[in-house]
Amino acid sequence: MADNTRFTTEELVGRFEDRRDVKNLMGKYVVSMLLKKESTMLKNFWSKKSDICLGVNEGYYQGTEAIGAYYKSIDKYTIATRDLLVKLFPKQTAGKTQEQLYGIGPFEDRCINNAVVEIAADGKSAKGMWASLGNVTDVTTRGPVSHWVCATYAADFILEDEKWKIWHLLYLEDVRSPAGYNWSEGKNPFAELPDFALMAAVSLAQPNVKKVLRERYSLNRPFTKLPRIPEPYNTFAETFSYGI
Amino acid sequence: MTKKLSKSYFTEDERILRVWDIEDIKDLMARRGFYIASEMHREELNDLWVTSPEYRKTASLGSNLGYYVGMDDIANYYVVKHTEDRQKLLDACCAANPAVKNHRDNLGYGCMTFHPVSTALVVLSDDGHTARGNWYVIGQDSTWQPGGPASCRWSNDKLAVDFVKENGKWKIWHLVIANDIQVEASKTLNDKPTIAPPGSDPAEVEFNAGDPTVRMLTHNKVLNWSDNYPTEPEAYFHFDDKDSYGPEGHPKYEKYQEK
Repeated sequence: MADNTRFTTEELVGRFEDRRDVKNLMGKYVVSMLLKKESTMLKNFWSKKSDICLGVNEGYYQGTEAIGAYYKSIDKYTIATRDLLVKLFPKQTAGKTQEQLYGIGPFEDRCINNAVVEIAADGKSAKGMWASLGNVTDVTTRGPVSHWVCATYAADFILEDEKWKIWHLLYLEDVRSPAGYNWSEGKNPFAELPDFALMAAVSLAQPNVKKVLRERYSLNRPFTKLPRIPEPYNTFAETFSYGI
Repeated sequence: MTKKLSKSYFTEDERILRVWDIEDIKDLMARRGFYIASEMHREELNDLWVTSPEYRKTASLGSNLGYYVGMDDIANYYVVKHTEDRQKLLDACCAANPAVKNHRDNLGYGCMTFHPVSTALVVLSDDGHTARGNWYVIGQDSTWQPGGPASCRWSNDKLAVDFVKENGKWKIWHLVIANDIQVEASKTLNDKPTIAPPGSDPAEVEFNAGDPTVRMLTHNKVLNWSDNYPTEPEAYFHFDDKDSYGPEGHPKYEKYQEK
């Protein structure tokens, strides 16, 4: 929490708007995953800087190309899922175009709450951290599997052409466990289904910087703190980064 | 409580500062959510709770079964007892698995706590010195158990908090964590007894074991929200103990004192 007495009334209004815009940006980001808009996420939400990165449990997608390839691989998965479900459910999907059917199957509700946002005193960058308790349904070789997901988002933002953009983003899961099962066991209780065997050929792009950023929770996970919480700061050079 | 003043009572400068007061309070409670997930209980009390002697004495941490009052009692429960409980768990864990080192850094081995806040409702006093808020938490507590699996529980809580401004910074003064549901992740609510006796849930047992300063049933979750405690904050001019989320603000506190 920055010391508000150092800012003028006009500056405080502007900083409130910045904070609101940063929250809206992250809200739009997670809703875009729900709406399967991965094909536009790089363009819509990310900075044009060369050092952008997206960190997940298994490592970083570093640079525009790697992040673009990641979203593209999700797009391919969404298409493959649609094509398989159209084949398996011809009656229910009849009469709809491929575009209309894009996104059927997977469900990615990674809603965010618990926002901590710090706008730099110079107004050029911001940092934020959110908790996410979501429900993610993947269409897999075992058919559709619904998971509870507990995760943390932590991000650096930068003001570009008067718009807030994501600079560095961490999305770190603690839990990704089939709904209705104990999440300390890491078990997938469902059997492989021959009808869904085609999904074995679909995989997401892997991080180009492989590094375990966070181990998911299990009975034998040593205690693991969350990423550092944003603190008030003047310029980005003065604070820590969620990037590599 | 005095009727809330209209917006026109405040100048433009005051209004934006009041907007930020509420932002800062929401931020404070979100920080608390992350502190808990990182087991930073001591840091939470140092950074986010009241520090001046006047408020330390009356600070309180409440649950369904009573209150710890005063920062010393709160710290004895929330930091000392919690650390002792974690140490006992680590001792058992090391006994079961010699590969795990019995070292302070390993406290919390096989455990995870996640209590993010949502649904904020914050009311700032007209005098600007205090504020009151409610939040809802859909959280979870995962605890190592010998032989596994861990005890993984959903935990739904309503938080009710009084804040006070100390040296220009908002601090937690009274906090009530009113639990509605504790249920194992692999079970359905139907698996639980229709009427579970108060104090039968693990979080309540843990709270009670720390010897609360004021032992009283503050919220009977068997009756859902029919007891309406903690209440929703309403507009007010300045703080009154009788309306607080400390023990004095509970409608049955006088009866408790008579006993």
